[in-house]
Amino acid sequence: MNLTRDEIIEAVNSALVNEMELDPADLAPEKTFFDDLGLDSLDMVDLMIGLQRKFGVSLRENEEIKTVRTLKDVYDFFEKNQAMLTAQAEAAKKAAEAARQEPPPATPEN
Amino acid sequence: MFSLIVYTHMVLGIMLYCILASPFFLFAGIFCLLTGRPFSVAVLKFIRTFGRFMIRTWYSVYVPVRLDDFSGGANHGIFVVNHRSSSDPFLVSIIPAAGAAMAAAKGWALHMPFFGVFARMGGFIDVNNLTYEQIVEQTRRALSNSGTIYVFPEGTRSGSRTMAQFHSAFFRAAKELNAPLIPVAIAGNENSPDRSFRMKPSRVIMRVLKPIPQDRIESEPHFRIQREVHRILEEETAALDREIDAWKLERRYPFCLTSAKSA
Repeated sequence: MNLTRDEIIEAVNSALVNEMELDPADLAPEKTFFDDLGLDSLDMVDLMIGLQRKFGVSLRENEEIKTVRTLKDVYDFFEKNQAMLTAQAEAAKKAAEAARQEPPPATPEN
Repeated sequence: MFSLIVYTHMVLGIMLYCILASPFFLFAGIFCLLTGRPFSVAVLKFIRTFGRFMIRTWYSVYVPVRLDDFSGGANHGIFVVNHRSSSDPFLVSIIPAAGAAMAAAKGWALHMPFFGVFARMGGFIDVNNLTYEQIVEQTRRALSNSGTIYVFPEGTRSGSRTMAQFHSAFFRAAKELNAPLIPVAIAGNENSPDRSFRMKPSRVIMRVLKPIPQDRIESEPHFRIQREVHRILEEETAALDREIDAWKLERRYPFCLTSAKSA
């Protein structure tokens, strides 16, 4: 994941439009998720799942993402944490590969 | 001064209801104990009767209330109500839905002095302290026990004519449980009482609207239904506000309007 800020904004906004059917005209950086866009905490979970898929990263253990209140906060989060999220995604991929390559446990003979 | 008179009347009304209802409440408790029926359903019936009693003998003396039922007699499902004032939970009790109704309340409402005790006994859903899965389970149980549940998805009183955004939990639950959703618009009570509990004279109109078509709840995502209900209630409350404003103008300047009509 090595995106410019504009690419991050485009990706986040398209997740909001596609997953939550928001109007693109409503997506300004200063807009708050609940008061302006009508997305509560349950909707934010759905949005994060969508963003995980979009960026190929895991946000599950990330505490900072839970503090976002505005669209700008989300853009800033992905811009600031690109390197960390990319490293996490690669580590997860390597662990999955290693698990796939391990020989299966021997089954006891009857 | 007006608030003092209204709240004195309210306290007397509560005392009178408690005196009249307590023998029946006691009998209901013993009956439920002996027969194994859930006491919470009996408590909900008392809460509903209490609400109706207070509206008819107290609130509507100062704030006339009119109920329009356009739902075609809907008596089962999740009633979604806009929330301007603390009088809303009383007002919904006059909606003629069958059976008792269980309202979803933020945590503080379940811990209010006196009312909170009965809210907890009636099994009001504490949305602040439950997970989403628990909310769905309690909603399912409420619908099978009492048939109806009233929710205020704004989560807090607006104290004005502006409607806040909706929380999504009960729209998601309606989709999961395939439960009917019935919008209810209440207008005119934003200052009766206001957010500081001061009472001002007004007029309230409540309108129970047509249920959202069940095939839409089944097939469409919850947020689309949620936004549709929000739009419906915004439009309906705006129309009711216009009617109430016209009524207030007529009351204040009856001679002006009479001469305008004859002109």
